[in-house]
This record gives sequence, structure tokens and C-alpha cells, in this order.
Amino acid sequence: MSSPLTRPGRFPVLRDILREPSARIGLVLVGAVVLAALLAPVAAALTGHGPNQQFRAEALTETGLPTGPNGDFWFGADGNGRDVLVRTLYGARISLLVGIPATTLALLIGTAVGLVAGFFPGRTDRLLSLGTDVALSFPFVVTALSLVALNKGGDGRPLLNPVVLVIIVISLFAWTAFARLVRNLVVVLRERPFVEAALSLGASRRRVVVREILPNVLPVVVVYWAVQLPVNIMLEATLSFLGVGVQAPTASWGSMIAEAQRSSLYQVQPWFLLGPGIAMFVTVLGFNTISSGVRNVLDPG
Amino acid sequence: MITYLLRQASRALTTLLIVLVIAFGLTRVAYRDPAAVLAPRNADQRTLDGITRALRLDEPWYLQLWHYLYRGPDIQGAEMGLFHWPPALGYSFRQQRPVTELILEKIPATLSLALGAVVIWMALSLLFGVIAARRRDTWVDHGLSVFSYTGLSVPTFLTGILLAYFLYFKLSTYGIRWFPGGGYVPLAEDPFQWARHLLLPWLTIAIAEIGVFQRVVRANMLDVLGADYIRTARAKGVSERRVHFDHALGAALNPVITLGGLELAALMGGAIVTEQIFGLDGVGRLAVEAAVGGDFPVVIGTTILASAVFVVSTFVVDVITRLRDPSGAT
Amino acid sequence: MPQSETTTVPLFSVRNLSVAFRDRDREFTAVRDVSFAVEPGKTLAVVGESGSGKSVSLLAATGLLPERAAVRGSALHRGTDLVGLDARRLRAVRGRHIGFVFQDPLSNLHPLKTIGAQIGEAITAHERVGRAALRSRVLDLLGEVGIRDAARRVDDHPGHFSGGMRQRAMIAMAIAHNPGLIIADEPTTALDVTVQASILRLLRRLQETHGTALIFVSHDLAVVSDIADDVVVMREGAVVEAAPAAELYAAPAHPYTRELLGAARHGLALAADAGPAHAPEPLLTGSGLRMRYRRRGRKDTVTALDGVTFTVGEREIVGLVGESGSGKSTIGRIVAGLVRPTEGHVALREQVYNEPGRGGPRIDPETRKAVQIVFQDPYGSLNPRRRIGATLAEPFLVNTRLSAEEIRAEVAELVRRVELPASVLDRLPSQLSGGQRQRVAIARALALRPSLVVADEPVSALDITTQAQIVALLRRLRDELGTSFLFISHDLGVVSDLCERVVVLSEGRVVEEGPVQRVFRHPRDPYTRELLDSIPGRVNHV
Repeated sequence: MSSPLTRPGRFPVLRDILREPSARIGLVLVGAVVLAALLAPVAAALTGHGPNQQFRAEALTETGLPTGPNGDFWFGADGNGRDVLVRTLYGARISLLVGIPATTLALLIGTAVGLVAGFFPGRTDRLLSLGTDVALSFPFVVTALSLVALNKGGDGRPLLNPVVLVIIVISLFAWTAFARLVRNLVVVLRERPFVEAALSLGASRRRVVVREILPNVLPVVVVYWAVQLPVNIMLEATLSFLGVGVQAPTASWGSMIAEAQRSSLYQVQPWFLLGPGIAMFVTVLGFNTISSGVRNVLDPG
Repeated sequence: MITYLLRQASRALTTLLIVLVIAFGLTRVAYRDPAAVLAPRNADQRTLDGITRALRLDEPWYLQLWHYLYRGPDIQGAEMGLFHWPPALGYSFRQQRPVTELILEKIPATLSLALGAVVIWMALSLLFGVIAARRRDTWVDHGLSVFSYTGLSVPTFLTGILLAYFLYFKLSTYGIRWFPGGGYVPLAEDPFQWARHLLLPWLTIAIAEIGVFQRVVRANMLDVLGADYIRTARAKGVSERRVHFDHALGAALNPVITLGGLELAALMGGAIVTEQIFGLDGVGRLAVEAAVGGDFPVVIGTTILASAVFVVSTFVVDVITRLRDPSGAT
Repeated sequence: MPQSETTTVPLFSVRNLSVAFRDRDREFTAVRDVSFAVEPGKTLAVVGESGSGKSVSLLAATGLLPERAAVRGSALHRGTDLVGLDARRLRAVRGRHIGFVFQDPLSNLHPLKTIGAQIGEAITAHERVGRAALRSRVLDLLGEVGIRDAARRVDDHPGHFSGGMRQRAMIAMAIAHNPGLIIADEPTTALDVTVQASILRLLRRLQETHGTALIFVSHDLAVVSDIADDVVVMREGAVVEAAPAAELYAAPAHPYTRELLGAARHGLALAADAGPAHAPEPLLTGSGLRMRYRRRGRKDTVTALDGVTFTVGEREIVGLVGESGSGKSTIGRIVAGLVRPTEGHVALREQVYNEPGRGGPRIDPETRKAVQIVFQDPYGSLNPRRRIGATLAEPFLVNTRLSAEEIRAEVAELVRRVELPASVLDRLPSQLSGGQRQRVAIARALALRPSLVVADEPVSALDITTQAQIVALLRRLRDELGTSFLFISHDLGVVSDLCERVVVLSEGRVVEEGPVQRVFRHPRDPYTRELLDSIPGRVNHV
């Protein structure tokens, strides 16, 4: 942990990161996913297949089974005759739309908690650490299910947009990782002479936290954001897989895979499963390789 | 050491207590009208009121919490609070059975799943991690890191489906029936069938975890291998094998144990996805069905179980790392 | 000192050794064409400042460098070239024929293994020994290196050993097979001066009884002056001078050797003019300072300070000396207002500003400005993420309402005062040398024109030639600005050179106090005398 703290300047680091092969591969993969998310409506317009539009006549056989890949449906169709390719592209939107805000929210909460807990030892630290323990010890999925159940108004309609709810649920768990990381960093930094020097110059504690400690914590936290993002993307997919994430018929990779599995239709139309499966893999792999490339540069070893 | 243990234990208990209160409160808000859920579809208001009174749902929440801790709802007149002995976690609305009984019934499957997976993933992670560190920057290291990234980047539900598809479905179409598609056979009944039925679920969990752990082991090994005391060992003429597997691995193990405890705890709380895919009747499925069906005593019960496992395993991990390093030097 | 003129066959000789490190796509040469040799039973000192390649060349010669290093040349040990030797045969030499002692005994001992297990392993690496026999041999070794009560301490972990005892345990490992050669890499640098003296005595005794040859790597010509037969001086990866010790100390040929020797020596000589014992107006008074800590998870308290009273006069430089654990840094932190004392108080111009109480010290802004601190670690005392200009502007931003333009002028003046080029203002701390960083830290402490600066070991992390420059700077700043200094140090040489008065601390108490001349020439307290006797090189070359 010491070397990211002592690394000089920003721009040489950025250049080093771009020279790192794994970071480059990751950037290409993630770039492709972002492009897919942006171009999803274009693909829908070009093929004439809306993401939730059913083409029972064209895409299902007489026995009602989905067709495989063909000139019209590149990835074939799902059990309801919807275009798997178009839905996979729309799924990228949900993944990023949930993953990025959830991770960012978790970063903000966790960093704030970690800074305070790390800088004020004793009672404050113990209290916040207890809070972290409590959040960590809740079983994620069961609690998420309860929270989704909570999200029902008197008329049975959701009180909150399910996407927003999923973001909140994920960040409610994910902040703990940031809080622990930041707290441990700050505990070390707090003892460093430059912090004491600032205090003996008469700087207020708020100024010391903001001007002396935060700049040293931030680069590490940003790298960690990239580490946590793929984890949270997988959490979203898991929730959707279990049927408590983004609600049907909105396309999410998790719920597409769940449908494929539940109906066993992937055994006749493998792309029903492979489309969202590969997309998921590419996205998570992309972010993982970026973060490992960044880590190689910041923490060579 | 004793004061340390006491302090950690009291912290663990406080955590549990807070979890209990939050879980209790959450479910009380979430399921606004459990009586309606429980009652027969065409029940009249009197029946509903009767159920409400029987469950003490008309009392303020703190009294309900009190009853939960000391008496439990008197459905069958028995006293069943968490602080009674044997401790009881309430009474399932849906299944009309004590929650403790339900959980105890489901625990063997989940425990088998979690512990078996831990053994596989820890053994392989340590082996792969040490090899990757020893053969750093060779094709062995690169190959292992590709494996690790793949494991890391596929969600468990996808791994599970793929394993089930290829090793169960595809193989069985060729008449090879090595791996059953699901189900659980108790260990006491037939150890071989137990292991055979659990092999695919174990692999499903282990592949994802190896992705994480192998990298942690490798990174810690490289870190430790750069330490001065490793050079001292070499200067004494200690063999490379001993340097790696004794000196370095021993010192690199602490962070791995810590992370392992956390992951194991998370698994006990719900290898939900894996249980779902392979049709294992474990605690995870119990919890999901209860949460979806509004059976909130079961939700609270499983939540408390999961956080108890978490709290206990972090406590054990703390003690282990502490015992391994009496000087507190690392 | 006897000189080796007979043509004995060298036991270990390094010929034309070069070492290069590859780091990503760059390669840099750490050692260039180095040669030296040691004869049986003799001592060779390899001396140089940090980065001179002295340790690297010995690690390279014995195959202990990481694989990334490219080593050329040869290292002959009893006729076998160790460079490029396969791992198995190299292992048969290391530990059995060549023993090693490294610098920091804490980081060089495995934290999770007992001392006994680690020494035992040094034996079993080369020999099959039964358990009982192994234990008795380990106990013998511990006894030989002077660890008292060996049978009780053998199962302790390194964390429970003191620094000196750890280094003795390291030596026990090195001599487990009674090797012909011991390579000791800065074996005393991390230790207190009295402990250093005892370790040097131990090494010399072992050498005499076993006839072991010794290669002693050090940054300090004074330390090796008592034990070396031959000296090799290295700088920037190359040998600048190699000569028998007597010749080299008497008539150093190379200017760099002369510079090193001057730096090693200057502290040892006391200025001749003692000057009148003028009594300046007292500026700072510490009265009856006590400090007790409660260690984590323990009931008993540790007493770091046990009733310390002292003063610092106007325009005076007072040295506060003592070994680690003497409480000297605690005094510095109390004076600088970073912690409260448990008892007693400190006063500036008779105004008490730090006394016992709850929470962090609350100090009025004027006193805050008047007392500043410079820390030992030049790496840790500057924020690695902020440019020097921003670091130096901070005191003005916090304490004054100057405009940006005025602050820039003040900062430029500060940088000039500490003799740094204006170009450092745009740099980050990592782009500066240790000495430059320490100058920045001094500039920051001076920004608010304090009356007193606490300097906590400000030069002990620096190379010996840089130390001399910083000491000169501090003296000049005092003369120009009239600032008083409380100079905390374990190095009596530097203190005797810089300070007018000295306070000697031991185990949280003041054991002696007085003018430097008097205390160092005629110490009254036995502890002060022991400290002075432990100064290396004092006997032979001063």
C-alpha cells in the first residue's frame, strides 16, 4: 500500500497505464461494451426489432421453440420470439446504469465513513466499525429480497423505480469495502509526520483531512472503484437472475439467463444463454483487466 | 489475550443484537399485513383479527420484539423465545413449524456445500498461487492468471448452468451419467453419493473463489518473497522449496485466512444461486422462498443465522491470526 | 595494526564484478567493475554512502540478489566461482562456509518463527541432527553470542527480543557451522550506540577465537576504524580507493575518502574555544514532565518520561541526547504541542501552553506559531501528493491573510534561506533528494518565524556528507534569525558539533545537563561516560 502513496505526478502514471498491455485490452473490451450500450437503439432501428417486441410468427417454430441465429435474428430469438442480440445490447445499458452509480455511491459513502473512522480513533472509530460489521453481516440476497418486498405501495405498485432500488440495495452493501480500505489507509497516514506537521502549523482537523489525507487516499480509492465495479455488475445480474432485480420485460442479462435456464430453451437455442452470458463475461473481464493493469502500474511487484 | 477475547466477543454480540433489531424492524415494515397473507383467501374480518391477535401484531413493535426474544407468538401455546433454551427463532407462518426446526433440517445441505467448496478452493488456490509466484512471468504464471481471470469474470449462476449443461446434460445424452443434475444425499446415508451429488455445486463455487484467492495468494507470496527474512533463509542455505512452502507461505497466509473467513461466512448465508441451480434444499432456498412468500419469522431466522456465522467466523479468524503471531509484529 | 604483506591466498575474492538491474524497459548499472579480496582471518571493510553499491556487490557475489539482476565478473571462494553457480551448490556454500549478518535484525528474522527454530534451521540446512542434539547446539550458540538465560528465551519470537539481542541471534545463525567467512552488511547501523559497541566487541571476539574472516559493510568510516585490516571505499557503484586500513586513515589518497573521513571525524573533535558560560534568557521551560502510556490490551502503564525538567535559552541550541526508549522524542512532541504530558507543563517565556488535560492539546495560535517541529524522516514529513510550493504556502494560508502574491514572495524567500533553487517549488517530494527534502521541512518550520524549532533527529536519516551540510545550515539560521533549537539526537558527534548545551536522557530521566564542552570532556554520570566510550573510532583515530 505504500507505493501508490509515494507515486509522483499524475500524467506519467496515466501514460504508464496506457502502456500496460492488460489495461489496454481491458479498455478495448470496456469500450466495446459502452459502445454497445450507446448503439442499442441503432441496432433496434436497423433490425426493426424493439427490445421487448415479440415476433412469434417469424422467430418461433410451429412447435413454439425459438429459432437459432439466422440472417434476420443474428443471435436467434428467445422463448417469446424476441431478438436476443437487441436485448443483449439493451442489457449492457442496465448493467452500466446500475453498476456505475451503485459503485460510485458506495465509494462516496465508504470514503466518508472511512475518513472519519480512520482520523478519529476511539469511540467514533469503534462506532463506525460496528456499523460496517453490521452491514457486512447481513446476508445480501435475503436482505435484498426483503427490501424489494418493502418496495410495494398500497396499490401493489412499486414506490421506487426498481432500477433505483437495485442501485440503493447494492451500494448499501458495497460501501463497507470502501470504508474498510479508506479507514486502514487513514490510520497509517494519520501517524505520518506530514500530518503532524500540518497540525503543528495550526491547521484545523477538517483542513488536514481534506488537504493532507484525502489527496493520498483518492488515487487508491479510484483504483478500487474499478475493482468493485465488475463485482457490483455481477451482483445486479445475480439479483435479476433471482427475479428481484430489474423487472420484466426490461432486458437485463441476469433475467435473460434466468429465463433461458428456467425454460431450458438454451438446450435448443444456445445463443439464448450465450448472448447475455458472453456479454456479461466480456464486461466483467474488461473491468477486471483494467483494474489489474492500473494496479500493476501503481503497485509494481 | 483474555481481555482481547472478551472485547472481541462483546463486539460480536453487539453486532448480532443490532442485526436482530434491524432485521426485525425491516420485516415488520416490509410485510405490513401478515395476517392477510396467512389467512385463507376468503377469510372474514373476524378470522383476520384472530390471527392478528394470536401473532400479537396489534401490539407496539418493542413488545413484539420482546415476545420474539422471550416467548414467541403463542400459536401452539408453547413458549419459544430466542433467549429460551433451546433457543427458538419463532414460528413459520407458511409451514406451521418452528423456524429452528426448519433451519436445522436444511443446514446439512448448505454446510456440506460450503465446507466442501472451501476445501477445494483453498487447496487449489494455495497450490496455484504458490506455483504462479514461483514461476513468475513464465507461461505457467500467465496460464494460471488467465484461468483466474476467467473464474473471476463469470458469475456463479452462469458457471453453474454451464457445468450442469455440459457435465450433466450433454454427457447424459451420450449415456455417460457421472454427474447427477442435482439433489442432495445425506452424508450419513451414502458418502459416495453425497460427494457425487455435490461435486458440480462445489466446482461452481470453487471456480469463482479460486479466481480471487489464487491472485491474493500469489500477490502475498511475491510480497513476502521480497522480505528481508526470506533473504536470511537463503543466506542460511535453506532449500528453495522450504523457502517457498514454509517461510514464505507461512507468512503470506494471514490475509488469505482473513479473506477466507469472510467468504465462507458469506457462503453460509446463502449459496443461494448454487442451491437454486442444482436443486439443493438448503438454507439459502429456504430464505429466498420465505422472503418472497412473506414468511417473515423465517426471514429473520435465516438472517440471524447468517450474521451469526459471519460474526463467529470473523471472531475465529481474528483469534487464529492472533495466535499465529504472538508478537504482533505483522 | 599488522599489515598483510605476505602473499596469502585470498579466501574470497571478487574480480571485475558488475551488476545491472532491469526495470521494465530500463536498465541501470548498480555496480561497475568492482574487485576486492579478503584473506583468512582478516577483516575487510567495504565503505560507501547509500547507493554506492556496497551491499549490492556482496549480495551479487553470493547469489542473493533477485533474478532480475544481471551479474557479470567472478567471485572466487576457495577456488569456486560463485557467480553463475547452480542453486544447489550455491546453497551448500551459503550458511556452511559463508555466514551472513544483515542490517535490520527485526526485518531479517522471520516474525512468525521462534528464535530457536530459526537458529536450528541454520544447522539443519546442512546437517542431519537429532532433536535433542539440535536443541543443545542452539542453546550453545545462543550462549556463545552472549544471550543470557538462553534456555528460557530460545522459544521466544523475534518480537520479544530487543534490537541488540536480535542481532546476536542473527550472529548465532551466521556462526552455526563455524564458517571461514562472515559477511556483515551494516550489522550495527540500526542499533543504539552502546549496543553497537557491544556487537562490535562480540564480532571481534568470535573472529579471534575461530579465526574467521570478516567482510564488514558500512557507511561509516569511524565504525570500521577499530576492526578493519583493509578498507575499500565505494562510490556510485565503483571502487574509488582500496588500501590497508592504517594507510587509508593516515593518508587518504582520494578526495572522496578525505571527505568521508572528514565527515566521520568532525563530530568527534570538540571545538577548542569553550567560550564563556554565558547564561541566556530562558525561552522555553519544561517542568517536571512525566508521560505514561497504557499499552493496548494491557493493564500496566509504560513510563516514557519520569520527571524531566530543562530549559532552552534565547538564541540557544540545546542538544537532547539519549538512546532509543530514553523518551527524547516524547519531549519533542510535548514541546511541539502534539501531545499533552501526564504531569508537568511546558512554558514559553513563562507562559504555560501545554499541560495535562483531556483530549488533544489546545494551544493558542500565537504559541503554535512560535514553536515548530522538524521530523527525522524526510520521506514522511512532506505530503507526497503536494508540490513543494503548496507545502510551503500552507503555513501562510492557515495563519495569515496575505494575498497570493505576498505568499509567493514569502515562499521564495524561505527557499532562498535554506539554500534551495527556486525550481524545487514545482516539484513533488519524490523528485527531491533526502537532504533537499529536509531543507524543505526546515523551511516550512521557519515560515512563521518561530522562536523555537524542535528538530527531532533531523539528520540521522541522511548520508554523512549531507548531515554536515544540514548541521551547518541550522547553525547559520540560528545566527541569522536568532531562532532557538531543541536538537534531539542519538549522535553525540553531531551534538558536540552543533550545540552549546546538552541534556542527557536515560530511561525517561535527565542524568546529566550542562555545557557541551564540560559534559563531553568531563562526564559526571556513568551513563554519559558509557555513551561517550561507545562512540566508534574514538580510540584509534581521534
